Amino acid sequence: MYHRVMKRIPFVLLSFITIFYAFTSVNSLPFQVPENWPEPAYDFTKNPLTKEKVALGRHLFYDPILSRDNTISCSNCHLQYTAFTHVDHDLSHGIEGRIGTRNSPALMNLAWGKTFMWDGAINHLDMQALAPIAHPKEMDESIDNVQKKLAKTIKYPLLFSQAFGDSEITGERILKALSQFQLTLISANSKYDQVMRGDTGVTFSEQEEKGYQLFKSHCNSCHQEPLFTSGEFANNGLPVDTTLNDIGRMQITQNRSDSLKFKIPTLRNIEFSYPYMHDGRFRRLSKVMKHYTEGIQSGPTLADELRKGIPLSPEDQVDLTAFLLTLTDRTFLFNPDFSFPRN
Amino acid sequence: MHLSRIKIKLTLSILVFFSINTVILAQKTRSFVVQFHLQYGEEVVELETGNYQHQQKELNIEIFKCYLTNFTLQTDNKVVWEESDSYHLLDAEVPNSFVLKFDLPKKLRFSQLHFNLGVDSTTSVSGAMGGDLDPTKGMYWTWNSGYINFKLEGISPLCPTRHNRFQLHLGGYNPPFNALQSISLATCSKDRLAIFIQVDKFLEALDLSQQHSVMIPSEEAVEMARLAAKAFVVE
Ligand code: HEC
Ligand code: HEC
Repeated sequence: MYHRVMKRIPFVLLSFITIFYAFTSVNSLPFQVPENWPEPAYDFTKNPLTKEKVALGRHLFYDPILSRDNTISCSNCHLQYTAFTHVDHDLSHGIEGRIGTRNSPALMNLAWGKTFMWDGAINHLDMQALAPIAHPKEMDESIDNVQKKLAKTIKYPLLFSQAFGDSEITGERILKALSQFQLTLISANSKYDQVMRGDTGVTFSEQEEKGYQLFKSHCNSCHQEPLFTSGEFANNGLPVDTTLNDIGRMQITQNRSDSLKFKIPTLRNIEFSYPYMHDGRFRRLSKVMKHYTEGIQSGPTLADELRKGIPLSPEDQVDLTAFLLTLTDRTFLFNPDFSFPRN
Repeated sequence: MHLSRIKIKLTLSILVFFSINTVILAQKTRSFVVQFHLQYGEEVVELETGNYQHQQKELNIEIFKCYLTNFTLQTDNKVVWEESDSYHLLDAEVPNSFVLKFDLPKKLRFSQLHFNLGVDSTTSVSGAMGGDLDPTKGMYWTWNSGYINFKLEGISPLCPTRHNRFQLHLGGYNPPFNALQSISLATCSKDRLAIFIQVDKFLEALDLSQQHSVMIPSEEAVEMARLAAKAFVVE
């Protein structure tokens, strides 16, 4: 008898746990790692995705309530149709038209990011949103005031209780929800991806294939497949813009060997994420090609593989560009789940 | 047959339930209260309204906040008890935050209290946290990652700054600018401990005409954090 009871304890416990979960995490969203991709850097055990939290994060991302005068939302500088970067502007424009000192990066595949910002100032995606919210040239607001403003609305206490089980609004919850939405911004369905997966009927053209080979020999050490970034920092030989004097990574580490190093950006959706580089100095890919072939500025921290420049004939440049255009992912750019939430 | 089985099951589970409870209750706990006192010399610090003498000049204190974390009790340098999830924000605007109560096993013997001034590096790289670590508490840097371990702001005519303000935000978790400090204090009672935070001792070690604005992890911040740790004393 006793044994029988003991045997059943695990079963009873299990059913309790199942019932408990059935009531708490109603709509958990498993995070899908695309085929042949590395494991993400983001620790999902600390912030497991749910449909409700992603939805809350999406509302916050598109809501100007996050800025001091309720005029600027994250999406002002990170627009979906341009791979979540700032369309046209070299330097980002924030509250009251104030101009920042850097180009807004495209946002995608953030779950694989190890550090954030051009200089890696931010160590975790959750904490990133604090920077634009507080920045006097971006949203010029404080997270505790955002919390108070959200609590006074009709919409948010409801969305928070759907997401977290009660309507309490905290900094932690705001940040985790924003992360959740941004973590869903995965771009892994470009022509390149389809070719790599072996989707039927999709192949590189001869030109794209030539470009891919050039890419693998000259660019892949930094813009590593499949994310098209190694997540590291490098000096790719851009001459210093003396109106900005941005020293990059050194600003954070205060280490001379990091001078003029910037985080290697992804090249996915590069067709749409112009202008290019941390200060948006190049408007076209042809200018980028010109930089790598003849514009590299030498200096003590310049990456070794760029010391001699990259010898690309005009024909090579066209082929390489054709390959880069295969990184455009229209299902990402036009995914209705990522756009302004209509309800 | 069926009914009696259910009865037996019921009695058994009730029995198990009560016996677990008595085991827990038998291990009675008692509390150990740590009370912090923010002092300027002999005086208790009053934010904004209090005037203190610093190098023959009047000095005001506007903000005092710090993180105290990873509390342990020790005897002969051996840890005999540690608090789980041990993160406390002391904020001079919130008097309750200056009293910490720990539940200890009744028979525990100890002679030293240990804690850190600041938030450890693992926690600093683990994303958004709640409770005292919630970023709305004003102790998280925004342009850079990491917590501010110790924040002291006030006014002294010695500072050549706007409105003569000094703003000392000490923090940073990345070597070589890791500002975390560990503090170890002798306990003499098993029930309570009074810890004095002598702001005067800290400020006397600085030259406010030069050292008035620290806002980033740096060598200066680490040096000041060392001095700040020395301001925690017991009678
Ligand atoms: C005024 C324009 C502006 C606004 C508003 C803005 N950002 Fe940004 N964002 C930028 C710029 C510029 C950078 C790069 C900053 C740097 O490197 O110092 C950036 C960087 C980022 C990054 C880092 C990407 C990477 O790969 O390193 C993320 C994530 C991000 N922003 C998300 C957000 C979120 C979430 C919001 C809303 C809370 C937001 N941004 C609001 C301009 C903006
Ligand atoms: C040594 C590492 C390295 C190599 C090799 C390298 N890049 Fe880059 N690339 C970078 C870094 C770092 C940046 C960002 C620089 C900045 O903004 O200051 C960058 C930026 C870019 C950008 C702009 C991206 C954006 O969103 O602004 C493009 C396009 C680009 N590289 C293409 C290439 C191509 C094509 C090749 C090969 C011919 C190549 N890169 C080789 C490190 C490298």
